[in-house]
Amino acid sequence: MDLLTRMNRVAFLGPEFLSWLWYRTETKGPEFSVSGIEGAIEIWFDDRLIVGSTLVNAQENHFKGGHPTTSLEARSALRLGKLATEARIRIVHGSREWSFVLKGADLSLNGVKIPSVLSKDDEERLYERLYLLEELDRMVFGIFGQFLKLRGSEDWVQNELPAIRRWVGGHESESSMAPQAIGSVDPAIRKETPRNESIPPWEDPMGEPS
Amino acid sequence: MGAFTGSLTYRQYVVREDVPENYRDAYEQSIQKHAFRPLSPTTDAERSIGWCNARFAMDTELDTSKYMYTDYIVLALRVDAWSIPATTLKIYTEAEVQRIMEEQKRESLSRYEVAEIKERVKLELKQRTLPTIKTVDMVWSLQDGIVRFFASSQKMNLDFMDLFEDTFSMSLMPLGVLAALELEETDLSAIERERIEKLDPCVFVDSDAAARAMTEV
Repeated sequence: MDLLTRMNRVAFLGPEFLSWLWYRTETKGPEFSVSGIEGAIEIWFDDRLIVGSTLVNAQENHFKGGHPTTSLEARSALRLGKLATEARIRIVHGSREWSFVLKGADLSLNGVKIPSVLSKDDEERLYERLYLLEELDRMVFGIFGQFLKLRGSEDWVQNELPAIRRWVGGHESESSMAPQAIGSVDPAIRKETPRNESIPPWEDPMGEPS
Repeated sequence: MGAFTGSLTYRQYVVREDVPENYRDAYEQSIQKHAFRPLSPTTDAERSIGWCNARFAMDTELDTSKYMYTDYIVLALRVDAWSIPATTLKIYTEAEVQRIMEEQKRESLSRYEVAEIKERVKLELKQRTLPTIKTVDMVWSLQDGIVRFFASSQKMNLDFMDLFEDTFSMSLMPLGVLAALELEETDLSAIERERIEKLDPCVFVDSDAAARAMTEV
């Protein structure tokens, strides 16, 4: 098989990776552990998402602004068999933050924003920027590697794919990550939170509702 | 732009061959051979492509001190092109055709004469204008064999791949899914890579949910 055929043959794994990442962050939280990176990193889907198909010439859905991955429209597109083909992603590692648009088709990174570069000198700035980009590569391809290991395993067929299908179909509640209903407050938290006595109850956000 | 300042949109490539032992000397000669050469308004060439200093685009006298940064080769691809607006060329050609007809007291000129006048006008306009200049940085990490080219345009990337391969006699492979399988970061064994290459796409939705979604829309 020639190189171009081999490249095209596995290209579908890019959108599958993005879609799995979406499922993974929504159901199990944003934390990931990546080999070679000290401490956990967090992955957040940001304000841009494209859902489409790389296999057939289907209509693409572009979402911009807000949190597209939580929108009903985006989830409906998934239910129609589409996959995430492009998304703006934010990676948080400690106090540093990277933001970029990841394209599933070729795993290219566009509009990359790196943590602030401190060096003023040209040469030092180059090294610092390259270091930050290489660190980003380690994180992105590290997580991509985790996906590939899972995707090629029996666990994918036995557990992961059925769970993804339940999530896409809306049968699996995103229990651990799902925000509570608007207005509801965990009673345990409410009990533990002392009221601020220096301000009137109606101005205290932690106060008992009247 | 890209390596030192500016936006960070880039394409990555994997260099498929090993760097030769005497690469410093060999690459210096080759880079100088493929350095950018300015366009001349008196020639027919419409575009010129070559390497320049990533920090100073006008500097095309390239030696190792200008592009070697420890284990990185940092260069900029410079593309100069004449871009005379079609309307401008048309108007100036029409004026010249008119002038010649009046001078020679003729009512019309043959299409060959008009074409010749157009070429002459184009040459004259080239002498009165400057070519457009585009530069895009390239960073080649010799340690891990990854090249970053700081532009997403397909045309610029194709020009870059051609120039890189001509200069260094090495082939580039775009860093997509297939190339990522080989990366140290993905940490896959040969067996895992082989298994992944044989995978088929899977559907992330079951048929019942898809059918319900169809009724929703």
